[in-house]
Amino acid sequence: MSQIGEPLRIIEVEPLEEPVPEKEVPFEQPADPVKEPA
Amino acid sequence: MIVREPIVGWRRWNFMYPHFLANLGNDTIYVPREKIEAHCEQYSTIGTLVLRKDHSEQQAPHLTCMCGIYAYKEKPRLLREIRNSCSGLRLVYGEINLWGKVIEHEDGYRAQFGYPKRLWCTPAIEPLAGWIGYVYGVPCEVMPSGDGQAFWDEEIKSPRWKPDPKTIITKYACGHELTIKVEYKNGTEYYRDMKKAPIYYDVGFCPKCFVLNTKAKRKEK
Repeated sequence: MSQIGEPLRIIEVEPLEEPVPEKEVPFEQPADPVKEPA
Repeated sequence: MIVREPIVGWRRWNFMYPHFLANLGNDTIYVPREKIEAHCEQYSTIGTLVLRKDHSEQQAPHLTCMCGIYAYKEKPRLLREIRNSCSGLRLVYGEINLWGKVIEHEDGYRAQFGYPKRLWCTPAIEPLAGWIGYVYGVPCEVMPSGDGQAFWDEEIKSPRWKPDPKTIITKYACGHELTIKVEYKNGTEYYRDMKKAPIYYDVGFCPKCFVLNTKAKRKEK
């Protein structure tokens, strides 16, 4: 747990609406800008 | 204590071109427009010891375990980690909404549910910022100079490590095929590589048509 330290407490989080966007149909994907090594 | 607003933390992802944010450290895919849920692999810690423990009847994350969706409380802590590690060029970081059962730690959180809230990408994948934002349905911008853009400009010119890319083609039951590139650190084998297990799960919504697929197949080249 060293990454984020020791646990302090448990919190119950119940949002009125889940923060997840609705699904849509994506457009055509762009090209990959990262060049691969030879 | 019950809170009605999501807790906001900071974390990073590898961007698996063309569609997925992923945590390659444990092969977790953040499927676009789906919340991610923590699952416990039933390990617990006592000091530096890692022990098996059966948490199967409780909801992850567990207080004495290492499970959960991780995030830092503060952005500077995240940026420090990014600069001190070999993260690859396709790096995305930002805010993540956390909810459900959330364990607060000194410097961060472990949560039951999560979904990105606002994203920034490194200069190497600047042309993809709009695309990533669109796919995930959240704002995505190029990292501001104060977040260490000069560091990443230098990484593009002379990377500290050469990625060992692997290309994976996934064919979904809906008929769409996706080609995904995964970067690996040289000299580093992830746990699932050693087990020769799939490096990610081909289950979820096809990012092209968002049809739910549970029988996707994959092959490497």
